[in-house]
Amino acid sequence: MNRSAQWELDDGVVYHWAIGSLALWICRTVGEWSYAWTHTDQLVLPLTDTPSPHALPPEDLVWTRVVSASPATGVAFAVRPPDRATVIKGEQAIAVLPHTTAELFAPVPVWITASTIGDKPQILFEVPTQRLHRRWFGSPMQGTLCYSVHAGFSTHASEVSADPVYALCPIRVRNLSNEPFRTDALYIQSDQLNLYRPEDSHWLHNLVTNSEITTVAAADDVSFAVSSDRGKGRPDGQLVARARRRHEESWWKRGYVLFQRISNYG
Amino acid sequence: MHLLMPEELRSLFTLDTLWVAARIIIVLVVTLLVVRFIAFVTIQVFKKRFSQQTLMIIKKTIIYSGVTIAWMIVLAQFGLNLTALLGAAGIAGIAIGFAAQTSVSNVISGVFLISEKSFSVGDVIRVGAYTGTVLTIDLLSVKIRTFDNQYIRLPNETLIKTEVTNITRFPIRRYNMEFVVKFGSDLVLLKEILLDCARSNTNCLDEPEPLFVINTFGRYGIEVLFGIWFVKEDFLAVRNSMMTSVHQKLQEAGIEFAIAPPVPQA
Repeated sequence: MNRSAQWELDDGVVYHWAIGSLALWICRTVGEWSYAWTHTDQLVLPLTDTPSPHALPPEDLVWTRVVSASPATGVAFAVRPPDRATVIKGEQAIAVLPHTTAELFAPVPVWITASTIGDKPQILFEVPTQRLHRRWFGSPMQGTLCYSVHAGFSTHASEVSADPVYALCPIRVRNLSNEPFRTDALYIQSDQLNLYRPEDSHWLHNLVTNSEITTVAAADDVSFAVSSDRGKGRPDGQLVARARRRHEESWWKRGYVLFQRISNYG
Repeated sequence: MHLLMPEELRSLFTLDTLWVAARIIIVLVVTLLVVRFIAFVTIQVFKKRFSQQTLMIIKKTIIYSGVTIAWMIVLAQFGLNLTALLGAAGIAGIAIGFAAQTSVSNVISGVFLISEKSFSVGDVIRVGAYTGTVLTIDLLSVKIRTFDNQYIRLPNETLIKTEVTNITRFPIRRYNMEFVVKFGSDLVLLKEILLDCARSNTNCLDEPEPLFVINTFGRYGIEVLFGIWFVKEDFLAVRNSMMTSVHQKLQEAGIEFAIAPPVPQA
């Protein structure tokens, strides 16, 4: 089992990885890397990351070429959180009773980055480990583009049915209102998700995010918002990928947005 | 006509007049350079904060103001009374306004267009028979580039009077597939096939959900509308991929499109 996810590649040889439903091909020549990837309908289990040399991709797959000044001859894989928010939709709605805190678990898709090995590693590319569908979160006039996951969520971590290359995301829902809080979808912001893994685990296995996503039902209007109290619920294990931070909005930008709202300009 | 004599010419080229001429040239060059520099810096500073349209207005305002100030300084160097000149300019403006009513109308329409913000630079608009991307919104006209790469100038007055459709105003759109299937087609199967096509297409959004409507029993068959939501940038990809997959899947399922019978030849 490869825990470090690093491989030395021979010059001019095409290597193939089958990681879950991701099929990936990489070829290295002097000063240039080429890669091609696709998602298959079949999930390759158990997870294996041993590359097969001389395995050519389908003819209709397009190769992407990357020029690199690095003399590195090896490639390293690492996991990353998704690059945008994810909405997890369950098959059945779940209701959290008044003044109850529910601990839910949902699967979050992860990405893989490939980078050169060496003193100054360079990221060659990054790809999602599975075919991701998208959805809109908000009104058709204003909202956010998110990934859509129909894997459902559960009250027990072991019951979350998903591909092994998902990361498990614990979500705490506190209903402070006097009404039951019913939902069939959970919105998870990517800029809060750090990825953790047990010390002795395979680089793709047993990934867990922090459980800082706390959905709070307000007292009267049963509206909910993501809590900003970050850093809570850090799982055991080592941090393997930091959350993708959004660009912090400057005071100037916030002021301008406020001006737009007040003046109805723009 | 009074011609300048060599002695008079010589009298013009005194040190004083040469100094005035030099000052004028210096003022013009320096002012224009400064104005261009200020415009460049301003655009760089606000590039990420404002839309292209706003940036264009800011740039033009800076350049026109700078050029006006430069000419006022030049005229002051000649010893002209600017107050009287401005008064005369006002009177001349009224006279020119009467003489150039269309242009003035376009200018006023341009002001309304900019303040109304129905569209901005980069939007795709449809005006009458023309559809294209807005290149600039100027005082007299709006320039668009059609998809077959034609440059169209639309007078502002026309845009104020005509119906303008801003195709890319909102981040997501719905593509409506309208077609007619033969009477007797399995409508339940048809709906399932269409939904399956949308679900398997990663360019189609899961939410808002696709819309399936049986419009009416038409003259030649059952008229159906199938609407799929997508991110506005994916329009062509969605249209082409959905048309292809729907055509293929319906053919496989034996569901035929209904077409009008040929007109009998005389």
